[in-house]
Amino acid sequence: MYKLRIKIFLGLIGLFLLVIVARLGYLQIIRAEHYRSQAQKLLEVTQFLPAARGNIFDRNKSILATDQSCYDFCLDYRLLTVDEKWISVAQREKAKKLPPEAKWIRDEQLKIKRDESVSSAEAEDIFRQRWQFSWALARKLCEVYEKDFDLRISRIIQRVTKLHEYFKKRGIERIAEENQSHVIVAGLSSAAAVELKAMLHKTVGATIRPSHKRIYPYQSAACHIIGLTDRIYAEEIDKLNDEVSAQHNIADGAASNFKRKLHYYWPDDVVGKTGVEKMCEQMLRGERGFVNFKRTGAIIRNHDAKVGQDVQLTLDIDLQIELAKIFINLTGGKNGSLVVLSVPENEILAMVSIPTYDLNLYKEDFQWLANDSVDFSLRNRAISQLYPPGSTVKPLAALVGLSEGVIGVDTQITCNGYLHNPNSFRCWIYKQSGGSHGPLDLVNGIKKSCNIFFYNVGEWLQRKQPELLCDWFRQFGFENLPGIGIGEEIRGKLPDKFENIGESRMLAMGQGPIAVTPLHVANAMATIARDGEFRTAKLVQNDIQQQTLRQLDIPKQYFDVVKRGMFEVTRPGGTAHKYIYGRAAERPLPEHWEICGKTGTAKVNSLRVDTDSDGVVDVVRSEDMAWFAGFAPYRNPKIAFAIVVDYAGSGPKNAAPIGRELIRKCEEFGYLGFD
Amino acid sequence: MEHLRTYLRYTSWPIIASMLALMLIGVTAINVTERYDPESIFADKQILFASVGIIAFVVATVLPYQKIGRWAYPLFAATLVVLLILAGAKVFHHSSILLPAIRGSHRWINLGFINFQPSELAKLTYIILLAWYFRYGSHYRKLSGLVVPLVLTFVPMCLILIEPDLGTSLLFLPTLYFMLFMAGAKLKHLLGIVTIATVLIFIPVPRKVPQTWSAEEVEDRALLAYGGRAFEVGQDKYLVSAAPLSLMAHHQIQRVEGWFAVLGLLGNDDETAELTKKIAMNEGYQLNRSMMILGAGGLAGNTLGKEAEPFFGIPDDHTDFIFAVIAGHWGFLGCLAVLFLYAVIFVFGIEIAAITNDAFGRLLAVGVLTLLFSQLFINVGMTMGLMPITGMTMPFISYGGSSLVINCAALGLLVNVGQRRPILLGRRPFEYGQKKEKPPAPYGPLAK
Repeated sequence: MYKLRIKIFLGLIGLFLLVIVARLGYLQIIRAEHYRSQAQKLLEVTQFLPAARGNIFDRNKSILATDQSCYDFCLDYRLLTVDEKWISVAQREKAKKLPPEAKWIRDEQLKIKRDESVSSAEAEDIFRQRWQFSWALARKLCEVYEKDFDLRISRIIQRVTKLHEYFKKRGIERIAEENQSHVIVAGLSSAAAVELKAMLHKTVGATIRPSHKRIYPYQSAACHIIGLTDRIYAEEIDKLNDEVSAQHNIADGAASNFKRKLHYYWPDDVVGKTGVEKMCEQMLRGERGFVNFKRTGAIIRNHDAKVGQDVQLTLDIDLQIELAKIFINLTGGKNGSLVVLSVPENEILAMVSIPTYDLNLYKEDFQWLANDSVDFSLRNRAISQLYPPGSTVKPLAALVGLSEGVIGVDTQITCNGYLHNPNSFRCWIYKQSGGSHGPLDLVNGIKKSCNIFFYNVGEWLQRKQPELLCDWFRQFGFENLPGIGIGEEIRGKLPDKFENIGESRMLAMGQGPIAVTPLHVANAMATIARDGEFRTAKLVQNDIQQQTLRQLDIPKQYFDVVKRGMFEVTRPGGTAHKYIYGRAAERPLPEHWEICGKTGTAKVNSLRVDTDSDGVVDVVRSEDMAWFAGFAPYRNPKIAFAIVVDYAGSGPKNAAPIGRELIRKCEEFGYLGFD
Repeated sequence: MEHLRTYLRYTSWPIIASMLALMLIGVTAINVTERYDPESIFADKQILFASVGIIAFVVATVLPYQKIGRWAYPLFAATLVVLLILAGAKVFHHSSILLPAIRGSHRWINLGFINFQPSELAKLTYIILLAWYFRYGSHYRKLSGLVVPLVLTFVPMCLILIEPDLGTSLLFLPTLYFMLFMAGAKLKHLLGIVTIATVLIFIPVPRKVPQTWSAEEVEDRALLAYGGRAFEVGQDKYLVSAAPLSLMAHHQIQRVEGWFAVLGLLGNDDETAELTKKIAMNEGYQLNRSMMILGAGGLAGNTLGKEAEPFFGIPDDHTDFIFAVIAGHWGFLGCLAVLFLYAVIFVFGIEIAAITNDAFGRLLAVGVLTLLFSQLFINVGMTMGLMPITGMTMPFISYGGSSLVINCAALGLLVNVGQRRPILLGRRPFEYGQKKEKPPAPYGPLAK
C-alpha cells in the first residue's frame, strides 16, 4: 500500500508541476505577444504640450488679444509640503520606509552626492543650502513682483489637496500634481528668466518653465467685448468637456482615453470667462500637442501643438477708443454706453461701455472690480444692462400706428400740454414750462417728441388690440437676444399684455414695463434705416453666429415718413438741433451732414446702494437716463447708433452732443461719406 | 575516515546540488531586482542567509534524525509558546523592539541582528511532530483518530492566522493531508474530508455589513457575494458569500477580487467592464504586473531590452514575486530550468521516502517534500494567477532569512533520512497489519 501511495504522491507532484509548466507555456509562449505589447505600452510616456490661444483681431487686423510667451517660476510640490526634519534622516533610511516627499529629498541628496562626488554628510549640507536658497529666492521674487507668497503657497496646497481627495475616492493614492512643479510667479520676461536660470543650480525643486500669457495691447479698450481668460473652474470643467466630446466625436469608454486627454480641458487650463474669449473658446483654444517617447529615451511620435484659430471681430478698435474718449469727455465721467452698427450689414463697429477696466491688470484689480456695487465696471452695459428706452421708441410706435392704421400720415393731434387733466399724462413741455405743442402731425410729433401724440397712438393701438404694440416691438427684436453670441447679452423685457390703457400709453413712449439694452435700440434704428429689414447684430466675422434676417411687414412710405420725422429732430425746432448744429454745440456739424436721430429721457428708479456700509441705503444716482439714437446719413444710411448716459438727465442735452461727436468721428474714419 | 566516506557516499548529492543551484539563482535574481538601486543590499544579505542556511543544512544532516524525533514534543511546545506570544502581542496591540509590528503584522521577533519569523520554524517542528506522532500508530485509520492530528494542526494554524500570516498558515493543511495519506489513513476518510471541505467552502454564509460602510463599499464588496447585492433585514444590511470570504478581512477579499478581475472572471458585460478594469488596476495591480512581466519574458527572456528593466518593478519583487523576475529575465527556458531543479529535489526526495524503512523517516521525508512543494506551488501559482495572492516565499530563491534557513534545515532532514536508509537486504516495507511486530531497529551504515 505504501508503495502505491508513494507512486500516487509522485504522480500528484508531477501533475502539479505539469500544471505550472502548462500555465507558464500559455503565458510565456501563447500570450507572450499580448504581454509584451502591454509592457511596451507601459514603457511609453506621453507628454502633452500646451497650445497657445488664437489671437483676436479687430476689423482692420489690429491685435486685440494675443498669447505672449513668457516664463513661470515654479516650485516642486514636494518642496512646498515636505517637513524639514527629513533632510537629516532621508539618506539614512531605506527608500521604501520614507513617505514620498521625504523620498524626494533622499533622491535629490543622492543626486548631489553623485553629481558633485561628495560624501553623504556634505551632500546633506549642500542640499540644506540649496533648500534654503530656493525658499529665499521664491520669497524674494514674490516681493519683487508684489505677490503674496504665503497666500500663493497656501492656495496651491489647497488646490492639490482638494484634487487629492477627489482622486482618493476613486482609489488613486498619489496624484501627479503631488510630484509636479507649481507656478509661484507667472509671466516673467525672458530677461528675468535668463537671470533666474543662472541661479537655478543653487536651488532644489525650482524650475523656470516657458508659458503663455494673454496680452491685451489695447488694455481697457473694448474690454467688455474681448473678455477675460482665467483658470477653468472645477464646476464648469465637465460641461465644457461634454461640448468637446460632441465637437470631436469622442465616444464613451476607455478606447477614447487618449483622445480625451488630448482634447479635454485639464484642471489648470486657461479658458475664456467672458466676452469673445468665452464665446469663441472652441476656436481660440487650439489643440494640445504631444510627444510620445519611450522611458528608455527614444521618441516615438511627435505631434506639435496647434495654435488656436484667430477670431476677427467687426469692431474698429480705433473708433472704439475715440468714441470712449468722447463719451468720457462729454459726460464728465458718467457711466453709460454707446453702440455703432454699420447699416447694410449690421456689424458692430463700436460698442463702448463706461466705465472700463484694464484687461491686463484684471487679476490685480479684481477685488475692487468685483465689489463695485455702484459703477459695475465688469458689466457690459451695451448688452447686459436693461434701460427703459424712453422716447427713442416713439418712431417705432409711429410705424406701428401707421401700419395698423390707427393713425395716418397726416393725422393731426393737438397737444394741450396734458392728455385729459393737468395732473397725469402730461407732455414734457408742460412739465418744463407749462406750455404745449399745439396741433401736430406725425412728423412734428416725432420732431418735438410730443408725449401727448404718442399717448394717443398707444391708446388707439390698445383699443384696436391689446397685444399689438408689444407684438410689434417683438418684431423689432426687443424680446430676443441681440444675437451677437456673447454670453453676457440679455433679452429685453416686454409685458405679455397691456394691463390697462395707461400702461399702453406709457409703452408707446418707452416707459412702463419695457426695458431693453442699448444694442436693442441701435438695432431697431438700423431696422428703420434699412426700411424694415431686421437683422441681428454681428460681432465676429468668422461665421460663428448666423444672422437672423426678416422683412417687417410695413410699407416703405411709412418708413419715409418716420425717417423724415427723425431727420426733423436734428433740424431747427427739433429736440436735438441746438446740440448738433445749433448754438449749444461747441463745434456744430456742417448743415449738409444730414442725420436722423431721436432723443430720449427715460425715467428710472434712483440707484440706491449702501456705499459707506453704515447700514443705511443711500441714494447714489437719481437723474433720468439720457438717450440719443438714430442713423446717418439721412438719405443713404451707413451707420445706426444708440447712446445712453446713465443718470444724466435730459437726453438732448446729455446724449445728443455725444451723437454729434460720434457722427464726426465716424465721418473721419470714413464710415459715412458726407463729403 | 571510513565513517565519513560512507556518510558522503549515501548523501543525496543531486538534492544538495539542486539546492545550491537554486540558492545561486535566487541571489542572482535578487540582484536583478536591485540592479538600479545601488543602495540596496538584499543580495548581499541573501548571501549571508544562504551561508547560515548551508550551516543549518549541514547540522540537520549530521544529527541522527531519530534523536531529533524524540525532541518532537518539546520542540513543538516551544514553538507554540513563541507563536502564542506573537498572537498575544497582536491581540493586545503590543509593539516593542523585541516584538516589532511591521505593516500591522506581528510575525517577527527581533533577535538583534535579524528579524526571525517563528511561523517558519513552526512549519518544521510541526512536520517533526506529525511524523513522530504517526510513526507507529494506526489510530488515524479510524475517523475518531483524525481528531488529534486535526487539533495539532489547527492550534498553530490559528495562532499564525492571528499574526496574521495567511500564506504560512495555509501550508499546514496540505502537509497534514499528505502525511496522513502517506501514513496510511483510509482513503474514504481523506476523500470525505475533501468533499466536506469543498461543500463547506461554497456554503453561503451571511455576514452583517457594518454600518460604517458607505453604500459604495457595500456595492464593491457585493461583487463576490451570492446574488451580487446586499439585502436588508430590518435596519441591517447583509451580504451572502462563500464561507471563507465571510471570514476574511477586507483587504483579503479585495485580493480575491483583484485576482478574479485580472483573470476576467468578475464579469465582462458592458455594465461591469469598467469596474472590473478598475479593480484589476487597483486590487489586482500586483498580479497584473507580475503576469505582464512573466508573459513578456517570452521564450528566452529579456525581450524588452536591458534599459527597460528598471521600469518594471513590482512591489515585493525580491520576496514573493521573485518568480516573475526570473520569468521575465530568463524566459520560459529559465523557468523550466528552475522547475527542473525543484523536480530533482522532489524525485530524489521521494526516492528517499520510498526506500526508507523507518516510519518516522518516511513521514519526515514526505512532510518535508509536501512542505516544499506546497510553498513552490502556491508561490508560483499566485505569480501566474492560478490562485489569489498570499504572502508566500519561493523556497531557496526568495529573499528572506527565516524561510531560507528553515527550508535548508528541512531539506537537511530529508537528506539525513536518506543517509540512514537501508542499503543491504531490504526488509519488507512497513505495512499495516504488521503493527504488532516489533519494528526493526534501523540499520545501515550509520545506524549506530
